[in-house]
Amino acid sequence: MVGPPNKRQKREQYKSERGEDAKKTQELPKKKFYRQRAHANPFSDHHLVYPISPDHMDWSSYYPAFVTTPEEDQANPVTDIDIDIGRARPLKKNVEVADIGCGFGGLLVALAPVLPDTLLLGMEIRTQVTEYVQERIKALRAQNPDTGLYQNIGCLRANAMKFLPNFFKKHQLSKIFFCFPDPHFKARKHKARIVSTTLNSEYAYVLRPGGIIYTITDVEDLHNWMVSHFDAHPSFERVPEEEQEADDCVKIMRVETEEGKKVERNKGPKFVALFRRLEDPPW
Amino acid sequence: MSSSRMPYQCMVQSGSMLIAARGSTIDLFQDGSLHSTWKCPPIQGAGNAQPLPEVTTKLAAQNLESPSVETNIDSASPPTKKRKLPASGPADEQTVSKDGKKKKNRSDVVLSGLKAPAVVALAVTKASNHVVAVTGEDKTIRVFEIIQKDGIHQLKQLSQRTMPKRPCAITVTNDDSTIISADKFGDVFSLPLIPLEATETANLAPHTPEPSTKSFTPAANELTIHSQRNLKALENQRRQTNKPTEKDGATFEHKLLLGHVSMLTHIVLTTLNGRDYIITADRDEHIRVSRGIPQTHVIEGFCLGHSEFVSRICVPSNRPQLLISGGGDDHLFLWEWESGNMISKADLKQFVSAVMQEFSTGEESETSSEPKIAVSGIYYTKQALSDNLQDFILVTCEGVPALFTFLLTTENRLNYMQTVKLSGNALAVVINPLAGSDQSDSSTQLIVSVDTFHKPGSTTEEWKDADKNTYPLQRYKFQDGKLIQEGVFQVPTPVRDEGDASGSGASGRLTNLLYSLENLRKREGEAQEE
Repeated sequence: MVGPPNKRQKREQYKSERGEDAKKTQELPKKKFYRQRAHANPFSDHHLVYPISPDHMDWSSYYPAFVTTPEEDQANPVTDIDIDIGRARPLKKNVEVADIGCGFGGLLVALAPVLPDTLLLGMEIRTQVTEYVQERIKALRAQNPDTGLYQNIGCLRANAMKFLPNFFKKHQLSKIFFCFPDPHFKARKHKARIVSTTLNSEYAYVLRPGGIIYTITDVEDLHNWMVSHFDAHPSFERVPEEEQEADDCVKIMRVETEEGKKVERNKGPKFVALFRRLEDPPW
Repeated sequence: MSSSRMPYQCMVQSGSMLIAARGSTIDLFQDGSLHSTWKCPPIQGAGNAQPLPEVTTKLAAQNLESPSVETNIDSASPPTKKRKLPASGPADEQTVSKDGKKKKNRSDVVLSGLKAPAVVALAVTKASNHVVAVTGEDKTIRVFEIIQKDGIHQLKQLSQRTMPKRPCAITVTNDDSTIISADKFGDVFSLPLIPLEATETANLAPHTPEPSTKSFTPAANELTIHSQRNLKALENQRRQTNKPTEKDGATFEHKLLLGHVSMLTHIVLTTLNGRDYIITADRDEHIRVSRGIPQTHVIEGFCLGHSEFVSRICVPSNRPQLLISGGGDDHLFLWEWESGNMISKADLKQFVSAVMQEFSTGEESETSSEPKIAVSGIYYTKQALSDNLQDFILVTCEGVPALFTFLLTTENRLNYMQTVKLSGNALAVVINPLAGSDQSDSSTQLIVSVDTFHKPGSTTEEWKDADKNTYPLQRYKFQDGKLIQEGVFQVPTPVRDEGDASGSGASGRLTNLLYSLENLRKREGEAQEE
């Protein structure tokens, strides 16, 4: 649904002013200009931009501080095959943590200083919200020019249910977060849930053995759904509670996500479950 | 309308027999002669659901006289209840025009306009005694046994199982025990070829680990809801005592093997170095390599490189480490699928353009200058070329009246060899059918099904002035690497009028049955949800 025209006008005006004024880029963006309906149909085509394969993904604009220097490039020159296929230059590091459905980016921003040497990527299907997170990261980087903080986080618009293998190679990730995913209450819509028997195989593909999947939700039914589906999947095992509670990421996930804060205000329950990616069985 | 106009949309070979589906019937040929025909019964109550072309009494009479061997189904043949009065002519036209408008709706693409569900996919067992067919509109997988009665081969239906979603591609495992079905919703299921008794299956727990709640309580509560409107909706839900009846899943034994979040287009089972693999292709440009049964939850890799839908994949039996794929792109892709490495690409567009140039009239060339490619078939065959056995790849494209042959070289390149022009659009190809019986020379035969209903080069225009001698099945053969025509396949032209294929608007609906791949292409300006 599109808001009344003056709302859109204000939004556009705000964004163009932000773009022009160099000072403003240091200010954190205002959420009210980036709101968007909370649901997106994961089955529709949208107007998505995604790389043909992980090799084609150009990460340089998302993590400019991790772009290889020309000297390093010379040591590892581009081959004819790379040019022919259209392979992009890899960064110094690969993305290792994905926050799927990152929303307004609360978790990313909170995790950035905790995992300073790891590249984190937020994936969000809503255009406006993605834009907000991108502006937020830009502002945070501008505010911290000397410390190099927040250089390790990025956000892009993507449909992770369809195109995860286009972004990540086999076993590339060490952590995947699903924080307060759309519960899709109606049974008819359960197929649209981010956790399912068949999608879990894809998460197992991009996650390395030993990697962890983090889930949190305030909907008990969805929590049970996620637990039963990961439990039933031979590639995953539930992480025991003591280990779960000792994990710093769990604490951050509980209190720093935007939804988490909302639930806190409502004094609602939060259900957490972690799953470890097992080694593939021999065959 | 002449009956020979209804073309064969899919074919398979089973031993010495050719099994070819034409609309909602399946013909069984041996040694070039029609043995029997199986007719799919109409869907119960379907008459109300879809606009039917006019049904005349004359046609109904013909139906009963039709030389269908499977009489048990014919006896329960459609009571032509929905017969339209002549006065309803204009109304009929209205539905058709509405159809035309509704074209944009993808769900309409399923409708073939036939009285009974059309056969959309065929498969045979290695032992050549069973045929598996998918009928589209009713999402049903049917298993047949090939039986012999008085020297005549017939298809005897053993079972029919309605799947949760419409199967797009099927195949049978090497041991002939299991059917693998890939559907429109992206799921791949396995079903036993011969289903267990109904009483036994009732005790089998469904594989899907969905927790089933007995009494309905809303999954949401006050704490999980953040808006006034949703809160109200929740109150209403709680007041509701009767649980919204959920659709029951299929009652027969079936297992979910793997799934894409995309429409599946093709599935191939293959074995490499003693390991089984399942390779699946989808509308979102993916080719996925998964382990075979029972470890189908492990994804081994992807072959990523297409920028349009992938519609066909082919693993040459002689070189099982390779995979050739085609779809909406201008190229054919050659992969080493186990590593996911693309080895080479071969241009297809220039050869398709060369064929299509002939058919582009002046006005058409203004609107659509370049033909869009939708690969509808990739076939592998080993042929002698200058005294060496070489690997050949045959390619067909939707709405293109030609076969394209490529040589798969030892350096893993696809070298273009030949364009064979056909008298009608290529629909299906079977390589080396009916071999053995009267083959003194070892040359390979091909049976090509051509579209006798649409104009060559067009997927929508009806071929009104079709040559009577254009037969739906044509014979070709390889001679020193070249394909040459050998004549037509002797399809008897019984007065087994499909009837359904005629009449206004039928062309459009038949297009849906014969040319559904181009619809997989993503359209600009769609889903502007922002």
